[in-house]
Amino acid sequence: MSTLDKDYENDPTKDALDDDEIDDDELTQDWSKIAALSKKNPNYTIPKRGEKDAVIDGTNAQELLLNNARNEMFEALENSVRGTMIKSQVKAYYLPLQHEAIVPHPKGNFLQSMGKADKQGRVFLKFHEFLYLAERGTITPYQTFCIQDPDSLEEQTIELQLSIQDLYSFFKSQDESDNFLVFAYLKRLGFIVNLTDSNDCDTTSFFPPPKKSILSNILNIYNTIRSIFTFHKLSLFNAFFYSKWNFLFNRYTTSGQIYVGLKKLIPFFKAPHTRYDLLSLNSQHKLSSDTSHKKQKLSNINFKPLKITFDVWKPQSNYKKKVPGLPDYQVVVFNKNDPHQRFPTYLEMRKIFDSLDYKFEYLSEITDDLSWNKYSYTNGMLRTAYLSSIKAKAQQQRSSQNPNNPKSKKKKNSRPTSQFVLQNRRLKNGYRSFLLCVIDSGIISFVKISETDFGSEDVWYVPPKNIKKYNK
Amino acid sequence: MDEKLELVRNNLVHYQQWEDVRVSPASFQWEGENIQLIIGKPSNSEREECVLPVEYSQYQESLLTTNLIDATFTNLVSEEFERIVLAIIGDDGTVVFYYITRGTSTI
Amino acid sequence: MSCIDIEIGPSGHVGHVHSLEAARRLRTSHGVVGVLSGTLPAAAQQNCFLYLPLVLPHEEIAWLLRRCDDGDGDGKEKVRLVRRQVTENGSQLQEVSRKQAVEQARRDEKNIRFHMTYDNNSGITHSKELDPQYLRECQCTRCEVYTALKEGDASRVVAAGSRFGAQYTLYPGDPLRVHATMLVLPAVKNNQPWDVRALLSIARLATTVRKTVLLPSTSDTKTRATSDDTSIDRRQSHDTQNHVRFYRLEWTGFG
Repeated sequence: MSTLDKDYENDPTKDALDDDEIDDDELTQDWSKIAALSKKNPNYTIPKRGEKDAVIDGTNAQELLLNNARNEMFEALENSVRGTMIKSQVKAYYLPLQHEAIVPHPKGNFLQSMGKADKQGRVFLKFHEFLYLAERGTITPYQTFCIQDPDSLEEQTIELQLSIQDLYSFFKSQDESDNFLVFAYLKRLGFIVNLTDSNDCDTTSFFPPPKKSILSNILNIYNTIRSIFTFHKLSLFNAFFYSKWNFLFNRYTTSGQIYVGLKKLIPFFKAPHTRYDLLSLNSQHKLSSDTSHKKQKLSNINFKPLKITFDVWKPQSNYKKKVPGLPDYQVVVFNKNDPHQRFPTYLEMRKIFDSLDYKFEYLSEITDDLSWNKYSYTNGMLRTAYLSSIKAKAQQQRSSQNPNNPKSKKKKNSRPTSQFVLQNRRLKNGYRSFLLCVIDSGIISFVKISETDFGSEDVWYVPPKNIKKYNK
Repeated sequence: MDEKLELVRNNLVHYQQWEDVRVSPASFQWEGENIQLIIGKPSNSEREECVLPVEYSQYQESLLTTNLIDATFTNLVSEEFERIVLAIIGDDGTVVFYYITRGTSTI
Repeated sequence: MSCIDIEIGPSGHVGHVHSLEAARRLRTSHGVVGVLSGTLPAAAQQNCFLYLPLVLPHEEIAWLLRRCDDGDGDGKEKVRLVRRQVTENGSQLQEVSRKQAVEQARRDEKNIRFHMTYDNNSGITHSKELDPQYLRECQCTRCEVYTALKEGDASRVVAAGSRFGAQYTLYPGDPLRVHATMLVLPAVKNNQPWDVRALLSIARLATTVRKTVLLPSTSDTKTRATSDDTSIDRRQSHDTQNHVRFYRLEWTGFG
C-alpha cells in the first residue's frame, strides 16, 4: 500500500480534483445521529453523511475515530427496537402452504395499498408484503402449529411468534429474495408497489381488449401484410437509390438532401411515438406472438429471460388497490451475480419493451393524469366507464396534479419551448421506458432504459425557407 | 517510422510539449506487430516516461492483453521504470494517456 | 470458540447474517463488511441506514471459510454455513410456546405496552449445518480475485462495486472511516484482449472519484494446467498468488 500512497502524492490529477465534489455514495455514513434518533425518535430528519479520511495513517487518533464510528453504528442497530404498541398490534399469520399470510383483524395505513380482503374482512398478504411489514414492526408475525400433547396425546393448536430470521428462511428462491429487496427499497421511499403478474386486482391496460369481430381480424391481417410490404418496398427503393442513374433524377444541392436519401437507404427502428402507433404495434404483436415465441425460447436455454417484475405508482392518497390504474413505472429486476441471468440482449430488450403497459408519459394526446382514465381499459372496458359503473367517482389523483396546485398553474404560463429544445428532449428522454434494477449482493441500482429514435429525427441543419426567397 | 509511433511522438512533442522525445531502438514482435516505445520527459517533470502506443478501434479487438504488457515490461522497460504510459489512439486519431503500473500478484 | 453462522439462500450463492454480534466480529476481525439490507425499524422511510440481515456474496463466504479453517484469523472463530429449518419437534415447539407465554405474562404484569418483534432465535426454526465444501473449494474467477485482494492484509475491505460500474471497490480499511482507493474490474484472462473502451470509461470515472483502477487478470487455463503439480495439496491450490496478477491504471492528467 505504501507505494500507492506515494503515487497519490505525485499524482498530477490530485490537485486539480481536490475541489471537486465528492460522490454522494462516498461520504461516510454517520451513524451517530441515527443512533440518537433511534433512542429518542419521533419527528426525525435523515442525518447527512460525514467526512472521512483519505488514507490510513496508522495513528491512534484514527483508530479511536474508527472505534467510535463502529460503536455508534452497532449501538444504533442494537437500539433500533422493532415492534408495536400493544394497543395497535396487528397479528399476521404465515400460511406455509399458500406461502402468504393472513391478517384476521386488519387495521392500519398499509391496507390502503397492500393486501387482498376476503368476504369475512380478513386480509391476505403476499409473502414479500408480510416480511416487509414485519420488518417495519407494523405487524407481528405469527404461525400456528398443530402439535400432539405428550400427556393427553391430543392434537393441539398453538400460535407462536416468528422472528425475522425465521421469515427470511421461508424464501423459496433467489429471485423471490431479490424481488423482496427491491420491493422493500421502493416501499421505504413511499412508492406503491405491486407484482406485475399478480391477479389480485382488476388489471388496467393501456391497450383495448382484442375485438372478436371478423372485421377487426381482417383488419389486423391486413395491417401485418401491409407492414411486410412496406418493409419490402423499402428494400426495393434501396436498390433504386443505390444505382447510378438515380442521379439523373435527383440533384443533390444541399447536405440535407443527402441525409434524406441516406435515411431512406438505411432502415431504422421507429419507436412508437403516438397512441395510434402503440395500439397498432400491440395488435401486430398479438398476431405474431405465436410464431416468434418459439424462436426466442430456443435461444434462451441457459438464461432466464428477464421480465417486468413490479408495477410502481408514485405516492398518492387516492390509490385504489382493487382497481389500480396504469402504473407510473415498470421495474425489471436483474441480479448481476446470478449465473442464470444476463443483461438483456437486444431481442430480449425488445420483448420487454413490447410487454410494457404503463402510463406512457411521453404521449402528447394525454395531457394530464385524469385523462388517463379515458385512455385505459379496466376489465375490458374503458376505465372511465368502469369507474362510474362501480360508483367510485373519486378518481386517482396525485397531489401534485391537483388543479389547485400552484405548480401546475405555473406550467401553463411558461413560454412555448423551441423546436430544437424539444427535439433534444425527445432524443434524450426517448419514448417507452422501463427501470432496470440491478442487484449486486445487496446493493441496488436503478437504471432507466428507454427507446430512443434517431431515425425519425432530422438532426441536420435545414436553412430557413424565407432566406432562400430573399436570395432570389 | 511506424504510423502510430509517429502520431504519438508528434502529439508528445507538439501538443504535450515533452522534452527530449525519442523512439527507443529496442523492439519486439507481437502477433505480427512491431512493439516499440517512445521515451521522453514530460514538461515540468524530472522523470522520464516510457510511452507505449496502442491502437483502439471500436469494432476490432485490441491487441492489448495482460501478456502484451508483461512482455513490454520484460523486453523493453528497464528496472528503473515502475510504470509505462499507455498512449491509446482512437480511430479518429485522438490520443489519450494512461499510466499503467507494473503488475503484481499482491497489491 | 465462537461461531459465526452464515445462512445460505436458496441459490446457494448469497449468504445472510442475522446476528449483530456476528456482524460486529466479521467487521472488526475479518474486514468483512457486507451490505445491510433490512428495514431499520427506527427510521423505516429511508435507504441510507439499514438493518440486518447482512448480505455477503459467495466469494466472501468462501474466503471466510478458508481463513477460519486455516486458522488465519485469531483462531477462535468458526464459520458455519447453515440453512434454517422449521422445527418438527413438537415438544420443542411447546417449549417455545411456554417461553412466549411467560414473556407475555411478564409484559402484562409490568404493564409494558410495547410488543417486540424478535430479530432471531425464536426457537421455531433451527440451523442445519451445510457441508461447506462446495464453497470452500470454489475456484471461480471471482473467488480467486477476492482472495488475492485480501491477501497480505485482511483488514482491507472488498465491497461490491456496482455503484461505480466496477466489480469491487477496495477500501484500505473500514469504510466507516476511509474512502475507497481502488475500483476493481472484472478479471480477464492473460491472453484475452482488454476492452479498451470499458477501461477508458472506468478510468475516467475513477479519476473524478479519486480512485485508481485495478485490472486483475488470471492465467489462461493452458499455463495453469502445466504449472499445476499433482502433488499440490488443497491449500496450495488455493494459493492464488500464481494465478491472479494486477495492473493499475490511472489517468496521466494530460491528453
